[in-house]
Amino acid sequence: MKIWKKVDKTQQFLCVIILVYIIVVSMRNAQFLTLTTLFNLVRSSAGTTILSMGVLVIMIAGGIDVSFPAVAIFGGYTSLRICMAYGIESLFVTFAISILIGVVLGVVNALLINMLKLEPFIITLSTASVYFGLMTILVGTKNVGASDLPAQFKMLSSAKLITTTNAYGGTIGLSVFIIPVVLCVVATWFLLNKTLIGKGIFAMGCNNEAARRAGFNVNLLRIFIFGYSGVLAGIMGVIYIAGTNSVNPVSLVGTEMSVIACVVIGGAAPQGGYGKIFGTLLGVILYYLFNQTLIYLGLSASWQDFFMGIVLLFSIISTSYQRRLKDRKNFIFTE
Amino acid sequence: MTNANHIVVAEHICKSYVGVQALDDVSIRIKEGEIKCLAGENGCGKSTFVKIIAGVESCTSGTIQINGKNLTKHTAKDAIDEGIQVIFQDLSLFDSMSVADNIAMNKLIKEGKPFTHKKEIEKIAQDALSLIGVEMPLDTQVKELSIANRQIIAICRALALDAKLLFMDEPTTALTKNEVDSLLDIVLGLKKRNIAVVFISHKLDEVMRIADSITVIRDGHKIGDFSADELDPKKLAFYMTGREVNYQKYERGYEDQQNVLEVKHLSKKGNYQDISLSVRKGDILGLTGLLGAGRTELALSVFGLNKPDSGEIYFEGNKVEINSPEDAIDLGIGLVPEEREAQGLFLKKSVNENVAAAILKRLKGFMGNIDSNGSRTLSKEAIEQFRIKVYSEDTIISTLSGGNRQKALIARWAASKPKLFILDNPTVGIDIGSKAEIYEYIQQFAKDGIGVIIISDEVEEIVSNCNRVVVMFNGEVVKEYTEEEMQVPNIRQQINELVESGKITEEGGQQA
Amino acid sequence: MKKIREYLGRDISMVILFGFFLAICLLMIVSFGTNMFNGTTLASMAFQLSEVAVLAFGMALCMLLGGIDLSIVAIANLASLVSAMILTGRFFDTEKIGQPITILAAVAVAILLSVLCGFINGVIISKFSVSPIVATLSTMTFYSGIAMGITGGNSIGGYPSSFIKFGNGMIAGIPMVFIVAVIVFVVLILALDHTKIGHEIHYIGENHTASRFTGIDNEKVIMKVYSISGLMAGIASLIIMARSDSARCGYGDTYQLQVIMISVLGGISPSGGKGRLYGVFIATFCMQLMQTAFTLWQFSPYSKKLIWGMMLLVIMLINMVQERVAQQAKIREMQAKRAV
Repeated sequence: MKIWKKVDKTQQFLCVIILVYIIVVSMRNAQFLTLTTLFNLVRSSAGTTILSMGVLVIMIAGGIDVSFPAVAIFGGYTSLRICMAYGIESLFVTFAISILIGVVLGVVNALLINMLKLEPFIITLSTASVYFGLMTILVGTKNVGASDLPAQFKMLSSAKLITTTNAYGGTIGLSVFIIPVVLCVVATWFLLNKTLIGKGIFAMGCNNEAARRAGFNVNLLRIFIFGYSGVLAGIMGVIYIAGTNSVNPVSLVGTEMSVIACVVIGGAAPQGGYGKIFGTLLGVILYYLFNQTLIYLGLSASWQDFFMGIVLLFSIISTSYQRRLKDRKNFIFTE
Repeated sequence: MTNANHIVVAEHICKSYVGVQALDDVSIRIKEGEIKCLAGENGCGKSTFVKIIAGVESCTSGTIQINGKNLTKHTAKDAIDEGIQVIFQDLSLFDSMSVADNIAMNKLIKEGKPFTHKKEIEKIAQDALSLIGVEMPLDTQVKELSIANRQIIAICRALALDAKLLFMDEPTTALTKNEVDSLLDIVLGLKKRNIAVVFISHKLDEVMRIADSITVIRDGHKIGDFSADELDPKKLAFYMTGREVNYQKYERGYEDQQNVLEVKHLSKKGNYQDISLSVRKGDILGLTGLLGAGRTELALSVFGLNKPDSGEIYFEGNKVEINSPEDAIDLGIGLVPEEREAQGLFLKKSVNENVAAAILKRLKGFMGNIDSNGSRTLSKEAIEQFRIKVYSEDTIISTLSGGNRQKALIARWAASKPKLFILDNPTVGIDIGSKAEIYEYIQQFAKDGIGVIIISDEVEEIVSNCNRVVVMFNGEVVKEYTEEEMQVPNIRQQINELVESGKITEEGGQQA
Repeated sequence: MKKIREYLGRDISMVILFGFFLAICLLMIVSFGTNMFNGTTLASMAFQLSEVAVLAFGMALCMLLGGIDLSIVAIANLASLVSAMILTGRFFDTEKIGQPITILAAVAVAILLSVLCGFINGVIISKFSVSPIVATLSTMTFYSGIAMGITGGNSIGGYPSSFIKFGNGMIAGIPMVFIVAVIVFVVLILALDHTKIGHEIHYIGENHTASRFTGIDNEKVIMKVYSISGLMAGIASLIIMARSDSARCGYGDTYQLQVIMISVLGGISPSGGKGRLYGVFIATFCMQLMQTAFTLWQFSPYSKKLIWGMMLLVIMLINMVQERVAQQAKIREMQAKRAV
C-alpha cells in the first residue's frame, strides 16, 4: 500500500488498466498467461523501451525529439554495413560504432537548437530527414537478409538468457535483449535521480531561465541530454537490426510518434519538469500488450493504435485539464 | 582601486537592449556586511544592474570586480562561486520539484559533485531552514506553497551556500507587515554574520530604513548615494523621478451622479471576500493594497476573466453577468492590464494593428470584412490624440519606448469608447514625461464622464489622480476614503500605513 | 517595382523563396531545355501539387495560430476511407440510389467527418489546454487507429467513373483538382486578410494572453481554425481518392513532414503570428518543381528528403542571422543617437 501511494495518479491509472486488460484477456484465452507471451513481450518491446528512456529525458528537460528513429537506424545500419564490409565480428565494436554515430547526431541536434533557438520539434523534424537522407546516400538502402547478417548480430538475435520448456515441450527463452534494456533503464534512473545533471534536467524543464540563474549551463546540458538520447538510439539501432529478420533501413522511420505516445501516456509532462521512469515503462508495456495480444480478444493487431489513442487522449486530457484549472487560478491563460 | 572590504566594485556599467538603454555609466560599490538599498522607479535599470552582477546578463561596457577579481564577462556560476546570490522578484524556483531540491540546488551546483544523495540534499535543506528557524515539509512540491513560504525557500537557497552578498529584488511587495517584520529580523541576523544584503526597491519603507546606504538610480543613471536619515518620501521621490512631484490633483466636476459600476458583496474564494464598491461617472477610483491583496483579482472579475463565486455586479444600474472579456467590452468596459508586454501588446505587430485589436467587431463591414481604411484613420487619430511618437501607424510597436507603448495601449481602449476604464498599474516602467501625459489623459477621460479605476502601488499616483480611494488588505476592503477624507493633508501617510498593516491607526500614526 | 522591392525587403524569407524558385526553374531549363515546361509536364505537376497544397494551407493556418496539426494526414486518410466505403457500396446498395447521390453522400461524409475530427482537435486544445503537438499527436494515433482498425490496412478502390473524372479531368487544359486548390487558396487568403477571424488568428498567434485581454475569444477561434484545418484535410482526401482511385490508411505518410516544411519554407513562423499564405502556395510550387526535377534527375526519394531537410534548416538559419543583424543594427543606431 505504501508503494501504491508513492506512485502518482497516472501510474496508478495505468496499473489498473493493464491489470484489467490482463484479466480480461486471460479469461478469454488461457494461452495468454504464459511465459511465451511474457518473453515475446520483452523481446519485441526492447527497442521501444530503450528509445523511450531517451525521449523521457528530453521531455523532462522541456524539449521534444522526433529524429531518434533516424539516428537509431543511421547508427545501427551503418555499423552493420561497416561490420559486413570489414568482416568485424566483435559485438563491442558494433555497438561502439553505432553509439558513436548516435552521439554525434544527437549533439548536432542540440547545437542546432542552441543556435537557432526554435522549437526543438521543428528542428529535429528537419534533422530527421537530413540524417535519414544522408545515411541512404552515404551507406545505401540495400536490404540485408537474416542469413547475411554478421555473426554477432545472429548471436544477439538468438541468444537466450534463460531457457525453459513450454507446455508443448518446445524450448522458449528470454532474449538477451533484456540486458541492454535493463542497463539503459537503470542508467537513466541513476542519471535522473542520483546525479547533479539529473537535477539540472528537471530544473531546466521546470523553468529554463531559473536554471540558468541558478548556475546551470543550459546549453551544455542540452548537448548532454541529446547526446545521451543519441547513445540510447545507437544501442537501439543495433538491437533493432538484430531483432528483425530482414533489415530494411527504411522501416524504422515513422515509429517516433508511437514512442512519444508511450512516454506521454506514462505521465511525463510535455511542457517539461516532470516525468517518471516507471510510468514510461507502463506506457511501453501497454503499447506492446495491445500490439501482441489483441489477437487473443479476436481483434486484429490493426486496432492497436485505436486503443492506444483512446488511452492517450484520456491521459493527456485529464492531466492537462487539472493544470488548466490551477493556471486559471493564477491568471495564466494557456489555450 | 581594489579595496579588501569591498565585495563588488562595479565601474561605468552600460547596458543596451533593443529599444532601451537600460544602464548608462553606473558605478556602485558594495561593502562586506553592509545593508544597501538600490532605489529607483520601476524600469529604471536597477534590476538590470543586479542581473549583470549576478552574471545572468552581460554588460555592454564597464568593469566589474568581485572580491578583488576582474570578472567583467562572468557567468552566473562565477558569481555564485564568489558568494553572490540573488533572490529575483519572480523567485526563480522550480515549481515541480521538492522543497529540499529547491533549497539545495545552488549548493549542489557550486560544489559540483557529479552525484547526489537524497539524505545529503535533505540535510542541506534542513540546515538552511533551521538557520532562520522555520519548519517546512521537505517533500512537498513548491507549487503547493504560498508566496511567503516560497520567499523563505528562496532565502534558504541563498543561505545554504554561505552567501557573502545577497540581492533581494522587491522582497516586500507581496508581504504583510508581520511577514515583513520577520524578514527584517532575518536580514539583521545576516548582517551579524557579515553578509551584505542589497535590497532593490521603489518605495521608502521599513526595508529602506534599516539600510546603511541608499543608492538612487533614474533612467539608467546613478543619481547618488544617500543615508536613510537624509531621505524622506518626498526627497526620495524627487531623486527617483527627477522633478518635484506635483501632478495636477483631480477634482470631480461631473454633474451626473449615476453609478457606472456597482459591485455588491462580491466574493471569490482565495481572492477576495465581500467586496462592495461603486464608481460614478467622472469618478477616478483608486484601488490600492499589497500585491495579492485582491485588487487585480477583483478587476479581472469585473473584466470577465475571473468569475466570482457570489455577489452581484451592476452596470449603469442593471444587474449584469460578465463571463468573458467579450461581455465586458460589449458593456463598455476597458482594461489596461498590469503586464504591458505579456498581457497587453502584440509586440511584433504595427501600432495600427495594436490599436485596432479591441474593436474588430466594430470595424466589421456587412460582408464580415474588416474595414482596413477605417482602422487606419482611427490609428492616425489616436497617434495624434495621444501624441505617440512614431513615423507612421505601420511602425512595429516593439521599437517604441515604454511610455509610447503604454499610450498605444491606452489608445486601443479609448477607441473602444468605454464607459468604465480600468487601468492596472498604468505607469510602471514609464519615463516621467509620459507619466504626466498619461495622468492628463486619464483625468480627461473622467472629465468626459467615463468612470475610471486606477489600481496602483504608488500612493503618489493614487493621491494625485483619484477623488476616491479604496484600500484592500488580505482580500477585504479595509477602508474607503471619500472625497472629503482625501483632502486631509497627511493622506499619503495614512494610506501608506493602511496598505502595509491593514489596520487603521489613530491620526495616521507617527512618522519614523 | 519599388513597392515590390520594399515589400520584399521586409520579408527576407520571401526573397529566399523567390530566389530559390527562379534558381530551380533556371537549373531545369539548363538541364532539360525549355520544352520541359510544356503543357503536359505543367499539367502533371498541377495534378500532383493540388492535394499537398490544400493540406499545407490547413497546416499553415494552425501554425499561424502558434499551433500545429500533426493529425491532418490521418484525418485525410480516415475521411477518404469512410467515403470510399460509401462509394464502393459497403453501407448501402449504390445501384439502387444511383451514382450522383452516392457521390454526393460520399463527398458530404468526407467533409463532415473531417471537420468533426478537426473540431475534436480544437476542443482538446482549447477547452482542455493540451499543447497542440501533444493533442494532435494523440488524435493522429486515434484517427489512424480507427482507419487501420476498420480496414486492417487494406486499400479500397474502384470508384464510380464520374468521381474519377473529377480527379483526372481538365477544364481548358487546367486540372480540375488544381482549380479546387486555387479556389481554396483565394478564399483563405481573402479571409485571412479581410475578416475578423483572420485578424484574430494573427493576434492569437503573436500573443495569446494579450488577445484574451483584448476581448478575443481564443477558444472559439482555436476551435474554428482546427475545424478549418480538418476541412482542408477533407478536401485533400477527396482529391487524393479521385486522383488515385484508391484509399489506404498509410497513404501520404511523408506528407506530414512535407506540409510542415512547406509552411515553414513559405515563411510561416513556427512560433506563430507571422506569415503569409501566398508564401505557402509558392513553397508548394517550389517543392513540386523540385520533385519533378528530382524525378527527371533520377534522385532517390531519400536524397529528396535530405535536400528538403537541409533547406528547412538553412531557411531557419538565415532567418535567425537576419534577425540578429537587425537587432544589432537597432542597438547601434540607438547608441549613436545617445552619443549625439
